[in-house]
Amino acid sequence: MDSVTLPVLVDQLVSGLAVGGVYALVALGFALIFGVLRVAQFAHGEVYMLVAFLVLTALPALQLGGLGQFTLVLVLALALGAGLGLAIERVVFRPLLAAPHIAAIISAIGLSIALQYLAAFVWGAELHPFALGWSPGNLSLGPAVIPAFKVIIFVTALALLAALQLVLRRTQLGRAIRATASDAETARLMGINTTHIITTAFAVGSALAGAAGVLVAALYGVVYSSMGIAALVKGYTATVIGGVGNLIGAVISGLLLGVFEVLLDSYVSPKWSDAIIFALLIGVLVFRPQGLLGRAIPERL
Amino acid sequence: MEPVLAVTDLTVQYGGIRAVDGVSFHVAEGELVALIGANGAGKSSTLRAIAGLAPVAGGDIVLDGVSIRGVPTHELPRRGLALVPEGRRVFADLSVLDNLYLGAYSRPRHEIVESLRQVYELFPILRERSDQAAGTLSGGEQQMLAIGRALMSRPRILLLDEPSLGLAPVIVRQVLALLRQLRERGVTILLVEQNARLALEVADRGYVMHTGRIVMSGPARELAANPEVRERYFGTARARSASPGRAREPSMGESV
Repeated sequence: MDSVTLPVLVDQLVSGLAVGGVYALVALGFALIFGVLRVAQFAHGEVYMLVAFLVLTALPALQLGGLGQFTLVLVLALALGAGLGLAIERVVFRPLLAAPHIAAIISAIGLSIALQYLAAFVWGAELHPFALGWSPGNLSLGPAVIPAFKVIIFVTALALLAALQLVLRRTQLGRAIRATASDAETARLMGINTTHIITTAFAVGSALAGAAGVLVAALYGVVYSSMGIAALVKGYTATVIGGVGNLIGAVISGLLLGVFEVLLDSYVSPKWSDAIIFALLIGVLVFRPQGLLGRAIPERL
Repeated sequence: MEPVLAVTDLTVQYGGIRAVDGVSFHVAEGELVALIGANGAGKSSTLRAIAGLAPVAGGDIVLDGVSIRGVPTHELPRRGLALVPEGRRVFADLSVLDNLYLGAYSRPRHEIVESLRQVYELFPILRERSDQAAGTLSGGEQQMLAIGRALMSRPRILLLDEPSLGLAPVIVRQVLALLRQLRERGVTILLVEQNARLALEVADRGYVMHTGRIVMSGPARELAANPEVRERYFGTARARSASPGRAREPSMGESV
């Protein structure tokens, strides 16, 4: 293909990494909650969608401009995501902690659908333009000129992921989250209140989803009521490819998935890229359920 | 002197099955007490009930003069109780050091360094392996880690559930020697063991459980010399502890 020049390829790679960083945020939040709850939070994508809409609604009141604007929006998104996560945990999941997992899974699916319709009812089902109110211009990267904003999204996603890793690895809270995911009963024997840990995981995981929601809204300049479901499926795919329970794997596969998708969009067809990615998901689930990057996890029930 | 742990008329019921039926015993400060009996006798259920992991249907559990019946499991380390669970249950994908840090979860931060030093002194192998994932340790090392992790909470009483299970005889010897060493340092210990011969070798006193009740008790030396105990629990203990994949409690109705 003669249209593929190096500058175009660099631009596509950066776009892919920006999108991939967003998928990694969704994947990591989802994996964090799944790890301690052992139930898939299928309404995770709706947190991402709702935060994008709420920020869109608040945007007229936020006119700092520049990097301050971006920071304010990001902090607001993190806070809104955490708040939504706490509310969902309290209302939907905590009453079902002792119930069979299937009850919580069905509730989560129901919540996902209900929130999509709620958003469509409140804001309308059409596409809504999302203008952050800040454009940092272009960046020269070798022969390529790329929008600096894509780089900022990628760097922001990486920074959030790194911060989470730091907490998980270096603090007692982080160890308690990992211990609860590994063996909740033994975690309780260590003095860990696992119910609080589940609440914390919801707050942190949903905050990441909120950040992902505004980053993607700012990247594509649009929000819509069904945007969450696509993000969740991509995030879920990244989690599965990375190996469920393998957080680093989820991040790496999220980034790769983003790049893969952008390349498919450009060189195959945007019509086919989702189909190909979901075929990949099914293939991994069938042939390598422990994930491409993961090792078999010693399951302890 | 008031015992560290006093259990009175404890009853544990799973649905219609009474796994523990009116059990009473105590552990005094500095003592190593063994609770022995065949598989399914209710030993593990007793221990799990003390730790708030099994439903208590009746009776009381008193730790340092305060009832802990109904206290949630995660509150117990703060009150001085640490349980080394059956099957060790180390956090397999976490590092040895992270496992030890988690053992001190209930303790103030400034104590951790000193606790860690003491545990490393007791188990130098854990220091060597501190960055390794706990799941990569051998069975014996995992048992050391599980005990070291429990000691990180500086417990008033240490409860051990079948520490010899699934370990090679030579490792079992090491674990028991360690328990003796801990006892000499003044750690109060309640040991649940199917391997009655070895448990009574290190214990001060023992209780024998059979189908949910305590049927015999006394100084460990006397129990070890008792012909009935020897016949019932010494002959088969070795073979049983070596057999893998045994059923978990409660599996009642086993005839002895």
